[in-house]
Amino acid sequence: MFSIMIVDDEEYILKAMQRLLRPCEDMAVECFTSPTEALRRCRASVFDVILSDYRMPHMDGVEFLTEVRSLQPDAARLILSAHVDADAIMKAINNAGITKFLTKPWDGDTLIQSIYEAARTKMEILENRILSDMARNSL
Amino acid sequence: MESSPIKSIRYEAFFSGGQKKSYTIDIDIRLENLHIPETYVPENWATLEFQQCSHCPLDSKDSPYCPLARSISFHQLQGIDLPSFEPVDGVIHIEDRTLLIRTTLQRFLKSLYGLVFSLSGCPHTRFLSSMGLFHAPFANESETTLRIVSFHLLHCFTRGDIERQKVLDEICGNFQKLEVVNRCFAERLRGSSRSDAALNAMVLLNFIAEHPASNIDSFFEEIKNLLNKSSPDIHQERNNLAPI
Repeated sequence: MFSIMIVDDEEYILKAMQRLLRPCEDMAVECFTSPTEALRRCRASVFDVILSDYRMPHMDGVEFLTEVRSLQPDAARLILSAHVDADAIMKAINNAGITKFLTKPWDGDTLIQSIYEAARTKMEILENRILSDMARNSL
Repeated sequence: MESSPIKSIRYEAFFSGGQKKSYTIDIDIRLENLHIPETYVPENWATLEFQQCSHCPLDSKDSPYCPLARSISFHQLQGIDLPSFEPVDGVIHIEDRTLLIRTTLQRFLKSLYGLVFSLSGCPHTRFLSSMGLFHAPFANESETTLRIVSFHLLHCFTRGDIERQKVLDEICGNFQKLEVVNRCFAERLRGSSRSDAALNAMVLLNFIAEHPASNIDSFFEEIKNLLNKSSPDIHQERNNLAPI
């Protein structure tokens, strides 16, 4: 089961995302309208994929995911935004270490596929790390 | 005296910084279309061939401009350069009513876009034109679903054919086409607007278009439950009335 966090200041967007991901039975989805609340949750629970809006009041998606990166460096981080400019994308890659910048309105299949890809990549990285730790310890 | 065929709806947005934006939407009731002067020449992003919807039946020889884009451009709805979450005090004047609402810019624009889309003359939004004539600003999700089903049932009723699956299939078919329009129009907007508010308004509008079937099915279930709940009371009332 993959644990997914979605953050967007607009409730309808979160409802639409929940509806889209409902048929994915191997995803446990938690949604937040406030990045501050989401960060609080990140201190208590581990997520495989964190998907955030870019433009939000009080804290934008890059600031939020940069904080997430320090709390949960292994969580795959994605941005979903209507607002697209080179500066935003650069900050998202360099500061928040995102793996994908997706645009609104989204294509449902592409979005689901991107979340699965991010979750599987995260699992592979973790498995590789465990294997290399085991190999190092056995030497 | 014959009443004017033009009905006006005015949207006013008051922002926290003291700015104000005002939009007057004139509707030709007889044509069920927006009233836009024929001489109006929109901006380049509104030409039919720019980001034309993949299923658009129009030909640029007869329609040089996309009716949706021409309508949005005429009312300058794409040009607000403020973030989508910007708080807005909205004031809407419809006939003898004035509505006040505290909302966000994206939700304010969503309501306006919904109105303009429904009456733009686009072949794929024309099925919404009667809803536009009886515009309900800031209707929530269940109110909008109720309106969609009610208007469609009225159409079916006037045609003399009501059959649930047929109704659902028709509504879903219409909304599948509308979803393509919303997605393509968002790409068109991306080329004309630096703000995320207009694009987010499109995403919010698309929220219902994406999954009308599940909304309508749950709506029918809710109605069925309400009717079931109310029927014992009806029987009780009948029992109470029986001795009389």
